[in-house]
Amino acid sequence: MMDTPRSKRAKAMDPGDRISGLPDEVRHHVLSFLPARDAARTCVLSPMWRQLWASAPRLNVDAEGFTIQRRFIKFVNALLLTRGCIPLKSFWLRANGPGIFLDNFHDTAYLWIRYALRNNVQELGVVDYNQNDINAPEFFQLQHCPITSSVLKKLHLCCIKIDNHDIKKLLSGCLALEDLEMINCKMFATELSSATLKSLCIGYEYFPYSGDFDMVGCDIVINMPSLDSLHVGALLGGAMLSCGCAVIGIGLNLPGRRFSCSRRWTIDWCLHYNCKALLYLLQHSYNLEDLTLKMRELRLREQFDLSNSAAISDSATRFKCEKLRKVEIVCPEGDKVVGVVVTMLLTKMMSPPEITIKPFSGLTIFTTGGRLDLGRFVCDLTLLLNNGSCDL
Amino acid sequence: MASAGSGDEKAAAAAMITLISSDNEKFEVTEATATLSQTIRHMIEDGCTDGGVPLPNVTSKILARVIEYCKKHATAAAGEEGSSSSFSDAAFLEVDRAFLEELEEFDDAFLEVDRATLFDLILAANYLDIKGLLNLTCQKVADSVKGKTPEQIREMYNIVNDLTPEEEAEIRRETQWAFE
Repeated sequence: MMDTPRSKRAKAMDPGDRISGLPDEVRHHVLSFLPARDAARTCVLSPMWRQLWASAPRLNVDAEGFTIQRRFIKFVNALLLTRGCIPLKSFWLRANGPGIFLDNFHDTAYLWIRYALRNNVQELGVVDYNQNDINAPEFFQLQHCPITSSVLKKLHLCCIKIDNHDIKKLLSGCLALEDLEMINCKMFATELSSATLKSLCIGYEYFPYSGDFDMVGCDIVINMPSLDSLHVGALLGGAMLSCGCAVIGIGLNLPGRRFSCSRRWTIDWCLHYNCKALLYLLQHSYNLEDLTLKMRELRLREQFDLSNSAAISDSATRFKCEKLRKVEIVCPEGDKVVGVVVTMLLTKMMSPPEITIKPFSGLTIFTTGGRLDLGRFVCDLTLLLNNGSCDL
Repeated sequence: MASAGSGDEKAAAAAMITLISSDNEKFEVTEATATLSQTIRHMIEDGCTDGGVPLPNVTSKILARVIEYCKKHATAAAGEEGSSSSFSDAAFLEVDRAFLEELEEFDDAFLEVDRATLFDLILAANYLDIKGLLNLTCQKVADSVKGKTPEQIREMYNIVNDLTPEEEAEIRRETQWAFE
């Protein structure tokens, strides 16, 4: 360490220097919003900043600003080596530089993730960004990266390839995991079991991938007794995702899927095959209290056969979903299916829940160029007024 | 009260707390607004808010701003009761997009303050333990620093560089990897 004249240090801080005067934990908090490179560069600001970044408990290893993969790897290796064994609260690895893909250096990337796990990280994010790049290699595979931890609480995975074996190992190896989010992941998993998980999100956003996986007809079992919040945007495989410019519309065949013990759901598929999936879910979800159905403009509507809707409401089999109090339907303007769904809920359920209908606020179409927002839609409420006791 | 069940919601909404700034100005706020501050929440739980809560570290000018923030966000919190703290709830709460946009606009306008006020707000948010406000204000500082050279940051925030050229050269050598 440096020898510096004490007298000089004593008058170090200018009264106008408010930022250096903040308590260390507040300055750490400021650094937590910066990419690691910007945070590390503060070490030359003044002696008060020299060691600060290294003891910050949140690290954003961000490839933003790097264009050469080799440089990025060199940077991260030096960063972690310099930082040493200081406990981490959160660690995010984002391969968000052009031409930087985790799969190209998966062994090294795994070492970095191991570094975070060994420093008792509680929140971990691994984000690979190759979905729109035609030069991209395969997705980073969870297989290369077994995650085990007794303290990890939140895990966010984006653009990662996950199969059944991986997810099983992950969920059984993370003893404290409560929050799992998988965005735009290639999921080959059919069984998700965890005793600790409270929130599960499987989502797809602007995902151009046209699913070439053959999982149609697979049962997906989610067995999570502690789950409070489940969000399933779409599932690959059985799900049909958008190809080219179609709106994300999902057809999902799930006669045997089981969901247990959730209290708060957001689901934006499930209406195909004449609501079979939805009915199945409702009949098997004893603890469900709050359900949101998001109905997008489906191109695949032919699977929803309106002429059969009479059959839905006529059928005598009614069932209970006792705890369900609130259903919220979000749909595009003039969606005729809404009426059918409401009728179905009101006739099939022994104690129909309160139903609210909201317009789908902004339909996003994926084009190869990026996003195209078609603006706001107003739900055609008159459609629903025929259907009795809905709370609009 | 924290211990009150949901049946007491009305009573809780009506309960008022008096906050007293360092310059002795009194502010009456609802409990829902005040409890955005963890510090005050704990005081309420411990039952030591009778006669007002003195906040010797916060001036009336700053306290008024902090309360403005808390009022707005307390309404938001009430609307999204039980919202989990998962990574990006906002990503799939499309329904509430309009409301979130409004809140965002409020936050942006709220941050239109001079630097001294910004730091006062940071210190107040830290002292009162208001997570959202601390995030908002620290993010603002971080954004202003992002991508800047150390020289630019020093100038922007009046940081006196009392490292000798030799010392600075040595630190830069040690952390050369961060400056490439």
